[in-house]
Amino acid sequence: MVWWIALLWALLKLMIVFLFIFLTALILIYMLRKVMGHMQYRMGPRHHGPHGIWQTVFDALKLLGKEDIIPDGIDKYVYIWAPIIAFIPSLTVFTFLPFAPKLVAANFEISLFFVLALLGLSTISLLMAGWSSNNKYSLIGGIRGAAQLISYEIPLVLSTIGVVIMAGSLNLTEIVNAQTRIWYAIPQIIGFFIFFTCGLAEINHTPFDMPEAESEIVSGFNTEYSGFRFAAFFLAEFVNLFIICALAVLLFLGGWKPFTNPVAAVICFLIKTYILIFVAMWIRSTFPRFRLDQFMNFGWKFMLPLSLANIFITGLVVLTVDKIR
Amino acid sequence: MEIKEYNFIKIDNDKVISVLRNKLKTEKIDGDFNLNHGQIYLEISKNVVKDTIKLFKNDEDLKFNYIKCITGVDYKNYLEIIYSLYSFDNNYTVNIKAKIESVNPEIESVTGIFWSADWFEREIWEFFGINFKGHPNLKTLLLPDDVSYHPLLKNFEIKWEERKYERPEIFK
Amino acid sequence: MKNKIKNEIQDIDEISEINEPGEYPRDYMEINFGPHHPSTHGVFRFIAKLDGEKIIKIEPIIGYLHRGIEKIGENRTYVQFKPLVDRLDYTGAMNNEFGYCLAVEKLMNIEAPLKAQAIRVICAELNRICAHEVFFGAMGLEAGAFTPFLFGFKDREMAIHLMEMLAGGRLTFNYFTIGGVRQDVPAGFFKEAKDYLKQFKKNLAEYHELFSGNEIFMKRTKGIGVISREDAIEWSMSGPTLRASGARFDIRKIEPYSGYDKYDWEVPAGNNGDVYDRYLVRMNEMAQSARIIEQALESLPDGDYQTKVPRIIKPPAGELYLRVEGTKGEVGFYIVSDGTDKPYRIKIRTPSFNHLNALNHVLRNSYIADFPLILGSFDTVMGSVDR
Repeated sequence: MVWWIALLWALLKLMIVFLFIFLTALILIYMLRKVMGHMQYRMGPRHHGPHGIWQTVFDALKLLGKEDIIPDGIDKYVYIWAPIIAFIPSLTVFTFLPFAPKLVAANFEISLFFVLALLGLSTISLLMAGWSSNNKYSLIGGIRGAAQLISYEIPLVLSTIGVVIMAGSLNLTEIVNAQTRIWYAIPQIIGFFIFFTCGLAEINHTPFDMPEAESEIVSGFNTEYSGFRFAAFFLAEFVNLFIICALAVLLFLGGWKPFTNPVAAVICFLIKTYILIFVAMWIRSTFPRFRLDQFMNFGWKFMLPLSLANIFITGLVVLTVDKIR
Repeated sequence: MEIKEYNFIKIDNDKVISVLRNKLKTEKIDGDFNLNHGQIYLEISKNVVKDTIKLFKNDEDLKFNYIKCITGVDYKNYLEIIYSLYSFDNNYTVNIKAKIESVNPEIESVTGIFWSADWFEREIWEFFGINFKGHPNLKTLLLPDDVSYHPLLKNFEIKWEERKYERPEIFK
Repeated sequence: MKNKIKNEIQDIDEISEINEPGEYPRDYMEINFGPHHPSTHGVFRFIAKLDGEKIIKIEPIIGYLHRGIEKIGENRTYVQFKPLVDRLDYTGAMNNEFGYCLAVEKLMNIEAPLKAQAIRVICAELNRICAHEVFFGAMGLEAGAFTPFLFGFKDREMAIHLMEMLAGGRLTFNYFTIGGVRQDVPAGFFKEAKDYLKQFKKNLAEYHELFSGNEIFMKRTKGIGVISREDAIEWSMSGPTLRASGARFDIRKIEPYSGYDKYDWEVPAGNNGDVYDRYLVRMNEMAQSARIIEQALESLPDGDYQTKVPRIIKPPAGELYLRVEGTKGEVGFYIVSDGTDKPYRIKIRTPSFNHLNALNHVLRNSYIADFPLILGSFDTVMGSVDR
C-alpha cells in the first residue's frame, strides 16, 4: 500500500470514530433527559423538533459558543489541559472497540488491557482540574475523584481476568468469538456484577458521583469550568458511560452474538449496549449518593476480595475442566 | 434512647404560683407574681435573674429545662427582659421579667445555664443594646457588623429613604 | 455547664495551635459554604474548619434575609401586620398565621367560631403536608437522588391547589383573620380534598418504597447528626427534631388549641435522634396530618366562619406568649399590647433559629458529605431564622 493511502485511511477511520463519539454523546444526553423525565412524571425536552430531539444539539452549540472564561489565580496550563486529557482517553478507547466481527479501527492482541489502561487515565484529568482551579470545592472534588478511581480500578481490572482466563485471549474480538456457546455473564455472574458496579464508579456515575456531588461541594472538580471546556468534561462523562456499557457487553454479554452479518451484528451490539445504558440511567434516577468513606470501605473490603475470589474460583474450575478432558 | 411520653397535664396556676413562691422563699429571692391572660409572670430584680433561672432549672421538682423564648421590651424609661421557661415534665410555664435601666443596660448572661440562650442573647444585645456579662461570643447576629444603632429601641424610627432614580447612560 | 460551652469553643481553637513535639503541624482547611451554596436552604452561610473531609468547627453567619419584621410590626396595626407573618416560614405560612391570630384573639378575649376553628385546622394540616413534602424533596436532593424532589413537588402542587381554592394564594395566603377565616369553604372543596387525601396516601406509600427503605439512604442517614433528648431540650429544639430525639411532645397535644383535642391522631416519635429518625418522623407526621384533615372534613360544623370583631382592633393592655406547633417546631408570638391599635412589641420565636444555633454542636466530627443531610434534616427556612 502506498503510504499516503494508508495515512488517509487512518485519518478517515479517526474521523468516523470522532463523529460517532459526538453523536453518541448527544444521543446519550438526550436519552438521559427523556428517561429521567419519564421516570419522574415529566416529559423532558419538548420544544425543539419532534419530542425535543434537537435540544441537546443546541445545548452543545451553546456551550461551544460561550466565552472561554479563565479565572484568575489558577495554574493556567494544567487548567487548560485538564479537559483535553479527560477527553482524549475516551476518544482513543473507541479505536479499539470492535462493533462487529471485522469492524474495528485498530485490532491488536492486547486491546482489552490497553482499553483498561486508557480508562484509568481519566483520573489524572480530575486531579489536574481539581488542583489547578484554585478553588477548595474543586480541590476536594479532585481528590475524592482520584481516591475513588484508584480504589475502583483494581476490582474493575481483576473482574475482567475471569473472562480472560475463560477466553484465553486479551483481544476483544476473540473474547467475543469465544462466547459462541455461552455468554460469560452466566458463568461469570459475579465478575459481571463487579465490572458493572466498578465501571459506574470509575466514570463517576450515580450512586458514585462524589467528585461532583452538587449538594456538598457545589460541582466538584469542574466548578470553575465553563463553555467548551466544561462541554469536554460533560461529553467525556457520557462517552465513558457508553464505553463501560460497551465493554460490559463485549466481555460478558456476547458482543454481537448470535449474529455474524456485519449490519445485524452492529445493530445487535448497539441494542445490548443501550439496554445497559438504560439500566445505568435507571440507577441514576433511583439511588441517592454514597458517602466517600462508606464507599471506600465497600470498594476495598467487599469488591476487592470478591473479585479475587472470583479469579480463584474461575481458575480452579477451568483447570479442573482441562484436566478432565 | 427510649421514647419519653409527654401527655396533657392540667395545670392550676395558683398551685404553680404557690410552689414557685415556696422555692423562692427558701432561696431568699423576692419576686412578685401576677397572672396575665392565664400566664404566670414573675417579676424579680435583675441581679438575681441568673440565680433564679439556675434554681428553676436545677430544682428536682420544677425542672424548668427548656427556654421557649428570651426577649426584651423597651418601655422608654427602662428596658425589660423576659425569659419564658418551660418545664417538660410538669407542663409548667413561667415568664421571668426583670427591669433594666436604659442607660448602660447590663445583665448577667445565662449561657452557662442554657446553651440555647446563646443566640437569643446575641439578638437582644444587637437589637436593644443590653450587654450580657459573661457571654462567650457577643457578636452581631442578624444585622451587619458595622451598625451603630439598636433598631428595636423606641427612639429608633423607621426612616423612608428617598432615592433618586437616574437612568443609566445607555438607556438615554 | 458554662465551662462546657467555653471549653468546647476553646478546645477547637487550641487544637490548631498546639502541636505535639515531633509531630507535623496540623493544618486545617477553612472553607466557606454559602450564602448561595446549593444545599444551604436559602441564604445561610457558614465557615467550616475541615480536617480532611471532617468538620471540626463551624461558624454560622446569618442575617442575609433580615427584614426587620419585628420593628415593622410595631409601626403597623394588628391587621396590617398579619400578611407579613406569612413571610416568616414561607413553606408553612398557614401555621404562622395560626399562631398570630390565636395570640391576638387571646389578647382580645375572643374566640373563633367552631367552623372557623375546623377550617383553620384543615388549612394548617394541609400546609404541614406541603412543608413536609418540600422537606422530602430537599432531603432527596441532599442525599444525591433527584427523583424524590419531583415526586414531592408534584404532590405538594395538589395540596397547594386545595389551599388556593380556600385562600386564593399559593404560598403566602393571608387567609386567617382575627376572629375566623376570610371566606367560607367553596363548593366542591370537600370532594377535591377527599380525592386528594386518597391519592396522597398512595403517594406516601410510594415514597416509602422509593426512598425510605433504600439501602444507601439508610446507610447515609443512620447514626449521623445524633442529638440526645437532653441536648435537644437544652438547645430549645422543638417540633419533629425534638420528637425524633425520643420525646413524644407535641404542642397540639400538650396545649390543645383550636379543637385539636377533638381529633383522634398520634404523635410520631423516633428513638435514635439521627437524621433518619427526623426524616421518618416527618414522613409519619404527614400521614397523621391526613388523618386529622379527614376527620375535620367529616365533622365540619355549620355556622359562621367569622366572629364579630370591632372594626379597629384594639386589644386591651396586656401581654402574652402564645405558641403553636408550626411545621418546623414551636412558633411563638410574644405580644405586648398598650391598648392602641398597634402592638407595642412583637417578638416572633421561630424554631429554625434555635436549630441553627445548635448546628455547630451537631455538625462537629461529621463529614462534609453529612452536612447537607444534617442541615436538611432540621428543615430550616431562612425566612424564619432572619425574620
